[in-house]
Amino acid sequence: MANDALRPDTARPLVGRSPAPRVGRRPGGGIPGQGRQPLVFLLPAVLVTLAVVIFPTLFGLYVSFTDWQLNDPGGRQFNGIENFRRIFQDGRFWNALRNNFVFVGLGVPLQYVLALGLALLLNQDIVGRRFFRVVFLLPFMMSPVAAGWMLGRSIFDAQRGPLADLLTWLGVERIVFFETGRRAVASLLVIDAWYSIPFMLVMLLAGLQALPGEVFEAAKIDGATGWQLFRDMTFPLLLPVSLTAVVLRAVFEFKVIDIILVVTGGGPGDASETLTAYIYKRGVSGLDVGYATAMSQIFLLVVIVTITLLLATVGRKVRETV
Amino acid sequence: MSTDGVGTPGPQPHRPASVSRPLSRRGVLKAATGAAAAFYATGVPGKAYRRAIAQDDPRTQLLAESDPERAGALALKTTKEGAFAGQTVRFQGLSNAGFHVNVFRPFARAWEEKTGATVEWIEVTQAESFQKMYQAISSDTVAFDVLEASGGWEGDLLGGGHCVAMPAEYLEGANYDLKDVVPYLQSPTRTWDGVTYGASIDGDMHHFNYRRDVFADADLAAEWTAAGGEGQFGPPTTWQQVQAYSQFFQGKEFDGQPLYGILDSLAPSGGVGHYFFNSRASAYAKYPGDPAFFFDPDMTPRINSPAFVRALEDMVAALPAAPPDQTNAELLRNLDNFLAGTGTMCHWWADIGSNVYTNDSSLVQGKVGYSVLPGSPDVYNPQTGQFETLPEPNFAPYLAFLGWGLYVMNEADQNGVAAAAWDLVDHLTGRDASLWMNIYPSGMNPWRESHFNAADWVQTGFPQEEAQQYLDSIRDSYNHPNRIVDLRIPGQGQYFEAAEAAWTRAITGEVSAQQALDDAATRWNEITDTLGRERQVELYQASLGGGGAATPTA
Repeated sequence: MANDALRPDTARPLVGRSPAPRVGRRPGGGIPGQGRQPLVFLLPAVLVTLAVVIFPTLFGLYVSFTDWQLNDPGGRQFNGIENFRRIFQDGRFWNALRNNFVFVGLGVPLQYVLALGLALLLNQDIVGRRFFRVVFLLPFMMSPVAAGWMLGRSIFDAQRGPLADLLTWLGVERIVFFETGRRAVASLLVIDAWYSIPFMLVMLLAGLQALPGEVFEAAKIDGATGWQLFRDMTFPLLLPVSLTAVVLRAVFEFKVIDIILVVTGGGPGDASETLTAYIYKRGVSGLDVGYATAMSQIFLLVVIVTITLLLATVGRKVRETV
Repeated sequence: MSTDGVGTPGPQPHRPASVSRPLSRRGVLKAATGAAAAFYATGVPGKAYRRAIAQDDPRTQLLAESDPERAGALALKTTKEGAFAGQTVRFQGLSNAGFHVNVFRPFARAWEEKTGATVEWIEVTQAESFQKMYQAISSDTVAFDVLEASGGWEGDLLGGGHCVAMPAEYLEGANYDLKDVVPYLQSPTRTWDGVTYGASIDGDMHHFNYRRDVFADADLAAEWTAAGGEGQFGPPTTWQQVQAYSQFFQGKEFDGQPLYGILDSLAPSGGVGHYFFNSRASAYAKYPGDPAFFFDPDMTPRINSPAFVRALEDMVAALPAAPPDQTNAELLRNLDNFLAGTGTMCHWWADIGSNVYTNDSSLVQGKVGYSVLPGSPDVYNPQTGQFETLPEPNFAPYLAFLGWGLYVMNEADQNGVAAAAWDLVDHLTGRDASLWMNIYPSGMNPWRESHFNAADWVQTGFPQEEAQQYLDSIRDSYNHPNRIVDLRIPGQGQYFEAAEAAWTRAITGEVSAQQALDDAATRWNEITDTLGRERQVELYQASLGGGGAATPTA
C-alpha cells in the first residue's frame, strides 16, 4: 500500500494536459481526482496529534475532576468540582499565583529595559563588541539550576558569599538576601534577570540589526538628535520584535520553577513559591495528582487569558504605532 | 538517615577563608602512610615488613583502607564465584555526592568480578526517592531489582507485597549476622507480618551534637553566671536550656567568630525538615508509657497539641540567635555549618560525628560532644490535655527515618536475578563492610552491636573518649524505654511533607504556630481519609504495639 501511495499516478492526466482539478472539499471528502488518498497521508499526523496533544489534554481535564491520589488504594474517583472548590480556599495557591504575577509584572519589564539598553550598546561600533556579545550570552547558555546555584547559593549566600563580604567591606550592614519573603522574591528576580536577559538581548539585537540603515541616515541628515532617533524611529520600529520577546519571556516567567527550587525551595515558608513549584510539590511530593492537575488547568487558563490580553492590548498599540 | 541530598549535591561544606584549618589527625595519618609507603618502596625494610602486613588482621587492614573499591575487595565474603555470570542486577539508590551509590558502586566492583554479575546503578536524589519508589510500585512499573529505601516506607513497600522475603541462607548467614543487628532493626523494622524482607544498611536516630569547647569556656561560664543564667554553664540537657543558651550566645563571639545558637532545619525540603521538627517536639510530646506520638490510636493528629505548638514556638524564638539566612537552611546546610564551626548546637542524624574526623572539610575535630536528644522537665499528657512536671526530666530519643535498608523486589524474582540480588545485598551489608561504611563517609550510621566498639573508631582518628561518647549516645537512643519509633504507615512521606509545608509558614510569621499546626492537622486528616481511615487506624495501632516492637499486619 505504501508503494502504491508513493508511486506517481501515471494513470491520471498530468497538470497541463487536462483541466486542473478543483482543489477543495467535496461531500465525499478528499481532493477531487485523488479519492481519499490525502486523508491517508494526513492520518499519521492526526494520530500523533491525538495521542500527544488531544488525549493528554482531555485526560488532564478528566483527572482534574477526580480525587486521584497515587497511594489511594481506591484509585481515582470522580469528585466533581471538589478540587476547584478547595483551590479557591487554598491560600498557598493564591500566594503562589501572586508570585507568578510578580515575576511577570516586574521581572519581564526589568529584563526588557536592561536588555534593550545592552542591545543598543552592543549595536554601536564599540571596541570589543564581539567579545561583549559572547560574554553577555554566556548566562543563557548555562543550566538554570547551575545559574541558581552559582548566584543564589554561592554569590548571594549571606554567610560565605562574596557579595555579602563586599557589602560588609564597603561598610554596608550585612544583607541576608533571602531572609524575608519580599527580599527573597526580589533577590530571585535579580537572579532570574541575570539568567534571562541574554535571551531578550539576542532578539532585540537581531531586531536592531534588521532596521533599515538608510532611513536613519536620512533622519540624521535632517538633523534628528540621538534621543529623537531612538524615541521616534528605533523604539517604534523595534516594537514588533519587542512584543515577541516580551510575550515569550512572560510565558517563561509564568513557568519559572528551577531557580526557585534550587535557591529557596519556595521559602522562607512558602513566600517565594510560584505556582509551578507548588503544583510540582503537591503532585510529585504529595502524590496528590487530582488536585495538582486541577491547579494546572486553572494555571493554563490564567496564562492563556493573560497572554491574550497582553497581545490584544499591547499588540494593538504596536500595530497602531508601526 | 545519612548525609544526604535533598535534591542537592551532598555535603561539601565551604570553608570560610577567615578560618584557619587545623591539622587533622586523618591528614597526619595520610601523610605518615604516604611517607611510610615511600620508605618501604625503597626495599630497605625488606621481608620483615611484608611478613608483618601478611599477619595483620584483615579487619585492621580494612579499617586502614579509605578507598571504597579496595575496601570492597577486602570485605568480600561471597562464595558464589562465577555463579551469576551474565546476570544484571538493577540497583536503585541515592545519588548524593560522595555517599550512597557513589560508595556502593566502587565497593561492589570486587563482588561483580568474583560472581560475574553486573550491577546497573540507578541513581535518584533523596528528595525524589520516595516518590520514585511510590510511582513505580503504584503503577506497576518497577524497573529495579534492589531498592535502597527507608524503614518508614515499609507500609507502602512491604504492606503492598512488592518485595521478596530475605532467604534464610543470608538472614541466618555469618556475614549478615542478624543477631549482631540492633534490636529495633531486627523487628519491627525490615519485617512485615513476622517475615524479614529487608536487610539493614543504616541505622537512624537523631541525637544532639554540641560544641564541647564552647561549653567548657571559662569566660563564657563567667558571663553566664553574671547574666543570671540558671545552673552551671555546661552542655544543655533539656530543650529549655537549649533555648536559654541560644539567647545567651546571641551577639557574642568565640575565637574571633560569631557565636550562634541551635541550628534548626527550617527550609521547605520535601518533608525531610519535619524529622527535625519531631526532634524538637520529642520530649514535650512523648509521654512515658504511651507508645503514640504522631496520632492518637484512632488517627486523630496530635500535631496541633500544645506540645508540638510549644516546639514550634521554640524554633521561632531561637531564630534571632541563628546564623544569617537560617530560615532557608535545610539539613545539609546545617551539617555544613556545624562542621565548619558555625553554630554551637545541632540535632541531626549520626553523620555529624562520623564526619568530624573523616570529612576533609571538618574544622571541629576535638571540639564536639554528643548526647541523646535534650529532655524536658515537663511533658504533655494527651489523656489529661495538660503538661505534667515529672520527678526527672523526660527524654524521648527519636528513631528518625528508621535507617536505610536494601529490599529485593518481586521483579528480581521474575527476572531470575533474585539470588544475585540477595548476594549483592549481603556483600554491602555484611559485618565488616558495614563497619567500614559507618566509619568512612558513606551516609551510613551505626546499626550493629559490633559498630559500637570504640576501638575500631579510634583506628581511624576518633579519640577514644569522643568515640565512646558518640557511640553511647546512639546506642542509648536506640535502647531508650521512651524512644519514639518513626511513623511507618502508608503515606508517611505525605504526612511529613504536608506538615512541613504548614509549619514553615509559622517560621516566617505568616501565621501563628497554633494556626500552622491546625492547618497541618487538617491536611493529615485529609490524607488519612484518602488512604482509608479504617485501614490506617488498623496499621497505626499495630505499629504501636509494645512501644514500637510490634509487627504490623498488612
